[in-house]
Amino acid sequence: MIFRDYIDSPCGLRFILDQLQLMSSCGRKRLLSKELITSEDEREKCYSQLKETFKTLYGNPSPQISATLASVKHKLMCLRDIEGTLLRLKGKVVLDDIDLFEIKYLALLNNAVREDIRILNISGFELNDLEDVVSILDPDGVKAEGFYVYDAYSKELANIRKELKGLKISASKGMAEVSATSDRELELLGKEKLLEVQIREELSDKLRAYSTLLLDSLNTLSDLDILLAKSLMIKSLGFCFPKVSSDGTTIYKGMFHPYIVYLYRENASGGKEKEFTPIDIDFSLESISIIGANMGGKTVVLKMLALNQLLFQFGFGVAAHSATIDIKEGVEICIEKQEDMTSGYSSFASEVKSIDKVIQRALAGERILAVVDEPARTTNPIEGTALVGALLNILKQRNISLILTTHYNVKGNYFRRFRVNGLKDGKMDYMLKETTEEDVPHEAINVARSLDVNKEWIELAQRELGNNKK
Amino acid sequence: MNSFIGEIKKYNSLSIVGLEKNTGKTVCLNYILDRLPSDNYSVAVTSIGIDGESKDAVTSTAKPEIVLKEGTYFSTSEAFYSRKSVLSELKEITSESSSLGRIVTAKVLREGKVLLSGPSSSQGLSRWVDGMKKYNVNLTIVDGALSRLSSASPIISESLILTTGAAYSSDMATLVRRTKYIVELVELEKVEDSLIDRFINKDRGVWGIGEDGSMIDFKVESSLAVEKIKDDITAGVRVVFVGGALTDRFVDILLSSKQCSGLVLVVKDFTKIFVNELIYRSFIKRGGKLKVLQRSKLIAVCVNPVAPNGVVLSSEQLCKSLAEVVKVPVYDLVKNKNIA
Repeated sequence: MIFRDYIDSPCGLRFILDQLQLMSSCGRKRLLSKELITSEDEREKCYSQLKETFKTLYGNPSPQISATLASVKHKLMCLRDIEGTLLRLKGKVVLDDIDLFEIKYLALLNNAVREDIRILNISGFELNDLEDVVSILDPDGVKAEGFYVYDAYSKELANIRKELKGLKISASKGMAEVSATSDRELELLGKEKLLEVQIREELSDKLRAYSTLLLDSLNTLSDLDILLAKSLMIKSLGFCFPKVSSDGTTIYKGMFHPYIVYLYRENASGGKEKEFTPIDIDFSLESISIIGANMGGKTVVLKMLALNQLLFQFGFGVAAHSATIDIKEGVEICIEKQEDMTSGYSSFASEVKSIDKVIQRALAGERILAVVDEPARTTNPIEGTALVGALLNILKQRNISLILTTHYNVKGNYFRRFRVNGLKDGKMDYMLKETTEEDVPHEAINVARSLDVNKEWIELAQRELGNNKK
Repeated sequence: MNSFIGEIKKYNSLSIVGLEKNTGKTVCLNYILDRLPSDNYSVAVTSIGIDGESKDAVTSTAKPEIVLKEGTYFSTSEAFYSRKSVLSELKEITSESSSLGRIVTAKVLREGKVLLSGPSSSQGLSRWVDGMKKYNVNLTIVDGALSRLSSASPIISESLILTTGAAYSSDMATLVRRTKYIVELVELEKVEDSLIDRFINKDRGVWGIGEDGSMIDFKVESSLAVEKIKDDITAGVRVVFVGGALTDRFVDILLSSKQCSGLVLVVKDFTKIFVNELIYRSFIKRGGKLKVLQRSKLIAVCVNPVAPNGVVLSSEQLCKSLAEVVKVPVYDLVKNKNIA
């Protein structure tokens, strides 16, 4: 799965993409097509670069470093996506002046950023040297942007142009006059065009040898853009560098959801900001059920777990105070967005189908993280409880970490239970604690009461509950 | 009196706008480009439409092509650049684009003909004018297109040349009257600086200044929604500002008000006025005043007495009649090649 496949999942990855300050469209394009990192080597390389960059840029940087960073960002802003041109070059097409200009521009920009990177001294990050490409397209050695078929490419061309200049072609004389007075000029113009075409062919041939290198440079510059944006995001959103788990256990301390924190900040009234309660949680390759009051943040926990797993496996900082995370082969997110009318399924059917996918992957032995929000909640509690219990059971000793939320009273000790602390003195305590109690909390009526709704309704419900107990 | 070219050189930017196709815009552009100095003076030129084609796409008549001198910068679409015949160095691929692809900027290395097709929106043009600063050009010229008076907006260029001619109207009296009206709008008086500051950042809506100097928001998106304003706009108001386009209907409503006399109606610049001449004249007659926040300097009116349908007006008569009603110089650049 690639980054793009996850951005519209309900865990909040789109917010991350929106907040990421990428300078170039190529950076964005490259990020969207990044594969989930599943190998330890790749992960290690990715994070050591990120740590190194973060330390250089934000660990008390000198004015020179800050200035160089600004300069790199500005250059990346000017980076243009010429993948199409480079692929055409590879495919033996003769390039025109605009294409050649773009390649020269890329080569000059690459070399300038390469110099800057040396100053930033980010170990493990290197850009190709495109000096050879520059010299092909800059025969006068001016090192300035711009391109035409320079006189320096051919003595014959230079001579023709010199003569033409001498003849001072003036189109303002009108075509009739031109043809009457200057057969020589027309002849020279024809020769000039022919030579220009020949030279463009030669240049394209020469550059073809560098097409792979150029494509690689474009990708590396895009990667640099992503790397700088990820570093900045760690600082701006208060992310941490995660450790990799060696025994399959994932541990989060002080996990938070950046989008909710952002919303709290945006909606702060009178300078008073609602505080997000950071969550601690740990799990291994096992089944876990999170129970607790409505509005107790159970779904948010699932979203945080999915988001952080994705951030980890796309090489980002992670939204927690500290984290040790197990590398997974995939992340399955079964949180209802909105009923998908186009699929032709009811909400129950589409839910069952997506849970079935989780089971299939788990039974195939895949090491995945699956978060499932209130499975079977749309059906009757008797069958719902059976379905949830069976799900926890069937996936208990597989390679999967299954975390689900439920209001159903699932009995048994074949899975771990976490419970939201719930309402205390009229205030919600969102912290999780592990419990062995099988009974789910009975707080729905209290929570509804705290929402200031019709009192008669709530009291009637309370009485009904009392009668049933008797 | 300053010469035609001398007057142009006083400004950093110029728009040439034709009141109709085939009124001699390209002739005017070539005339200016040919006579501007080439030593220590550089020019950048672009077009809001497509200019420089040798044959008119509508009438199939021959058209003058645009000739640029060595050292001139020009911006055109990449499709046209790829087919160029002029020897030029590509300098920049801008972030602007048109239906013909991205807009590129190049410097002419040997005099030759070009096809111009630059940014097509006023914002794009304004950014283009700004972008040319890095080449240290002394003058940017925008070749405006048919019915696209917005390219003449003062936000794009400081100075302006209007071209008019037999293609606009084959009846000399009508031609003179209609041209005079446009010139009158271009030359509308600017409001005082304090009002400019209050209105300049309002791109939409209808606003008023009360007799006590307070600002009134009429709470409508534009003058098109004037029917939504229930009260008499002019009651207790001495200035009305329209943020976007000024329409016939809006002025009509002002006309039906009792307090039209002495009312100052303000728009951003003349390109925002879409008011029929008759309605405008009635408004002025009733004692209203129309003013602008920004205006560009009208340098001259250039005429082309020849229309593609074969109509030929008397150049002398046309120049004379126009000169009598407009305060700026009137030239027929084909007939009189040495006015500069």
